[in-house]
Amino acid sequence: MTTEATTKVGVREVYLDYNATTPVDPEVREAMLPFLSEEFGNPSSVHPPGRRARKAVEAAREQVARLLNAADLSEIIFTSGATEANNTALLGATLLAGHRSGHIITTQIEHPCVLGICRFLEERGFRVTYLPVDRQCRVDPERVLDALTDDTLIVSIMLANNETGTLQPVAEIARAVKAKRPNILVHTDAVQAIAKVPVDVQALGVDLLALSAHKFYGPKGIGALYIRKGVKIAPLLRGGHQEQGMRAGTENVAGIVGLGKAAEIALRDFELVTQHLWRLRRRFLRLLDELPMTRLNGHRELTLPSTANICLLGADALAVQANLGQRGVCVSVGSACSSGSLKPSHVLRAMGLSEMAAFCSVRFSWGKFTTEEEIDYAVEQTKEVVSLLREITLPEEIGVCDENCPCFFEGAGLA
Amino acid sequence: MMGKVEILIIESVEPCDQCRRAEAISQALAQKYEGVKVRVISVLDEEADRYGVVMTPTVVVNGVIVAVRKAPDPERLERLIQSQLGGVKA
Repeated sequence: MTTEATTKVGVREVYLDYNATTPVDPEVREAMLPFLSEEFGNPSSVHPPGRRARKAVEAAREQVARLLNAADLSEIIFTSGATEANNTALLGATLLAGHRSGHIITTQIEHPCVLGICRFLEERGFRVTYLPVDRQCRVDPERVLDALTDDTLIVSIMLANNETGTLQPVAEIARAVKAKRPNILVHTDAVQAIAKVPVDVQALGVDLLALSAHKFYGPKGIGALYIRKGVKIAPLLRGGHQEQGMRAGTENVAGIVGLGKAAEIALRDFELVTQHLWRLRRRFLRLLDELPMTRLNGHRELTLPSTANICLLGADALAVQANLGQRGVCVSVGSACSSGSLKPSHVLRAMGLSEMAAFCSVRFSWGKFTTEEEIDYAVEQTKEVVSLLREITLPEEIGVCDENCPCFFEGAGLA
Repeated sequence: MMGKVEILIIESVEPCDQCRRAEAISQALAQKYEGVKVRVISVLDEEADRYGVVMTPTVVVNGVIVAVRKAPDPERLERLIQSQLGGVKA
């Protein structure tokens, strides 16, 4: 599980941005290679090269179905990634299914992909409820039930938040929604959860689930949508019979094979990998706790084992990120530049963080190739950089603080 | 022995208000302290890539990024420069 730290010229590089993307597992790459060279057949062709490609695609479907504990292979549709899977799920259950109005329930903390689709639907006559979260980044299942209306078509709630790692009570929500209104579809964007926490579609009770290969050591440009047998949604891409008519276009065979292999490895190594991730998380929080004025954003236990979003009060996260980058430590911040001005993370704001606290928050995310030694180095560099920046920066220059900001109460510290 | 300080300001192509402010604050310190040099480059400069500039101005003091998207606080910058120069006062 331990590999050498990646290096760039002269500078050691510690990659702690696994929630953005992961390196391709060497086993995955090996499995893909034949399909980028001699095995170039089109799975729709009936001659031997085509049949070999078809066999590879169907083997991958089985690997993904097994990872998700799907009841039937036909429930897995390959897509170009989670963005397409989310588009297919949300548009396929609403606009593309012929509805001209209706209600959708989601949360304020979804990935921009889901939020973007919901805004698109709002502009076309649909109503969307964006549920709030508590200070620990959790959605209250009761709120979902309260939001249901006679014309609710679909509930879409992410399984794990990409910025904080906090898990959402999707199984509880699906059970409650189905008990009350069995016809309402329940979709989950499970992109960040796969290979980090158990993801079992039958235990979750969802109708639709989106995933992406590059978040769990597979290649970019390939993902899947789980569609429970019997659930009717309309396709996003038309003009071909592929994927049971649910996704037209010649299959990305090499990508599909890579996704399948990544799924197989995720299932095979699950215990080993997740134990490693939890160990790294405990170590990271314990070491960083030596730095004063820090706070964990998100739920302490109901979380991915691979993510820690930390408010480093008094240090501008952009400057922390830039200095850590200089020292070879790759992290990310939730704030985004939008039309020339900086916007704090919508997730952290939804949790009640002040603008300043949000601008001081950095996401660290590690993976199966991260070593304890890399965590130690990253924490050491973070402590140095933050102490230095706190000396040079006036807190009020970073952003506006407010009295509801949870940075200043609910206990301090990380470990 | 007295140290040397380089303040590098990475500005937008058309310097914004904060870019100009960062430059003015830095130039004032260069006038006040011997050993302080100010260098201004555009965000399009290849050197800017090294600092992973996401917003301007980005202010770098002896290789450390001290401010992103805003000019640094003048007093705090001065204190940092004094310590880099080896505790000298103006």
